[in-house]
Amino acid sequence: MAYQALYILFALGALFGGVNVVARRNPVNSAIGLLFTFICIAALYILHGSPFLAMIQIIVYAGAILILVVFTVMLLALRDPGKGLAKFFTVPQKLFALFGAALLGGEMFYLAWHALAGVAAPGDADLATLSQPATLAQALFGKFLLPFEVASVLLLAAIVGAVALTRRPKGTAAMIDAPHPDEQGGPR
Amino acid sequence: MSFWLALLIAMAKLLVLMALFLAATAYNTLYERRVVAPIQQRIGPNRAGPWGLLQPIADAVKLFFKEDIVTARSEKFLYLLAPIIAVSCALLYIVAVPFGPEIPGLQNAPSAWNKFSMLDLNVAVLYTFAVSSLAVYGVLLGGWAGNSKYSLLGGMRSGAQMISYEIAMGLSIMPAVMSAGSLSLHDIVAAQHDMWNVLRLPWGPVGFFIFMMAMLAEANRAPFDLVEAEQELVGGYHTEYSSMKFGAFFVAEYGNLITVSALIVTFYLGGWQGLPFINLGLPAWLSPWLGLVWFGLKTLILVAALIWIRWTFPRPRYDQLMGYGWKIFFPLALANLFVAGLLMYVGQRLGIGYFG
Repeated sequence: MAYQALYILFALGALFGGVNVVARRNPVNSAIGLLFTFICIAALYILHGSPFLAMIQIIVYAGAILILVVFTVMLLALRDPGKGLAKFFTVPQKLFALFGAALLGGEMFYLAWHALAGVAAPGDADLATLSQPATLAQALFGKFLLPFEVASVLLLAAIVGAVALTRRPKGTAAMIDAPHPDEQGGPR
Repeated sequence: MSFWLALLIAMAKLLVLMALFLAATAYNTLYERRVVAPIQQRIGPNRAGPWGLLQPIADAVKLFFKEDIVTARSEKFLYLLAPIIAVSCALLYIVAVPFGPEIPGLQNAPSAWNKFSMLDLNVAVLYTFAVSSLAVYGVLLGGWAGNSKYSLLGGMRSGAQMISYEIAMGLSIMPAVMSAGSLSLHDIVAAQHDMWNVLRLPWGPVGFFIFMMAMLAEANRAPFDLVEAEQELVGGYHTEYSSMKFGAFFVAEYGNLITVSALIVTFYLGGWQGLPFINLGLPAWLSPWLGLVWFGLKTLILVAALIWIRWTFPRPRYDQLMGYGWKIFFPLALANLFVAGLLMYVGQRLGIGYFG
């Protein structure tokens, strides 16, 4: 009973955060909504008997990825975009988005309606063993070593690409250093 | 053990821990000022109570009764949220620290509950990382929500600094985790029974140094306090905060100082283990309490050392700070991890097995 209550609490919390991500006008508020969602999902992992996954979730998503998102949003000074995101989309796009949202919502509602009665505390000894750091490490560095290494090579390619994008050809000055045409010739 | 008994034990532990931690945080400010006074050839606070012992209380009362200004063009919700996140993370941070061995009288309780710490998590190392990465939000949001360029710059700096040093911090304690074979802080302390990690691990002093520097940077302590560099940024991320909202950031900072010292002690200075090779011949029932004393003593000395560092070394420039993090500490920590892994593997293969 306590398990179901906590599950529903954190699931609703995750949903609440997710709604905030799309509904808030201020991008920083959206990011905080996403943070809330991440924390609620970590709590759900703990409820399912996997504190390891919960900690990794917070370290990687909340601690690294979302921080970078918040950082970028703050650096770009995306404050008060006026009418919100709605003005960026055409009417057919909006209709399509509405259709997609209705479909997804319907599916989720159907699943929730049929599955919620069956949600029970895992309590499985198997699950608790499976999510131990040692078991995960043995799987990651034993059976699934090749996919794991391939994935990290993929990330390396992404890093190299990002560095290549920021490189300038020799002899050209940084874009920041070049004065804007309007700003040449002293104060107006 | 029934569910309610476990809950009762947890609540009692939490109450004692939080009361002691908040009191220690308050008196940490006095400790810092008394330690720093002789360094600067001053006397330090000595007016409120004997030896200035009531000074923290006077400071708290002053902060509570100051006018609470909310700047007009700030983002109200995030402006209120930032100090809450900062204090919450400081309080969550101390929870994982192991203060001593088993509590006498609780031997029959489950092994997660019967020790001098809130809970013996089997992922406690990752828990400390998680909390310290969440603590960035307090500073980052506080800097942004105030709508001032000084606090924004402070917040930005903190974000970049804390993310950069998190990598060196994580890598520098991995040898300790590897040699203990566990992510539980109690196991890491137990593995240091014969010798502290700083001398036991291959390149232990290097790992200790990197970890200490990374923790200083994580806690935004001087010489890495670019976040609130007074000469450049007025007050840094808390420029726009007044009264007890500023006090909340202050509590978080001094609380983090204690936790950071406690974690350094746990990972590299033997935790609650006493000095190796010294047997005082005390009765066995005393040893859990002696562990507490050792831990408190080591933490106090380390806090004093961190204060000493703060008031001795000048602050590096911002690009120098990032340079240290990425070009010196990060490769050094990687090399440290590689050497430790190699020596442990060779040691196991040859059957000497000293390191693991």
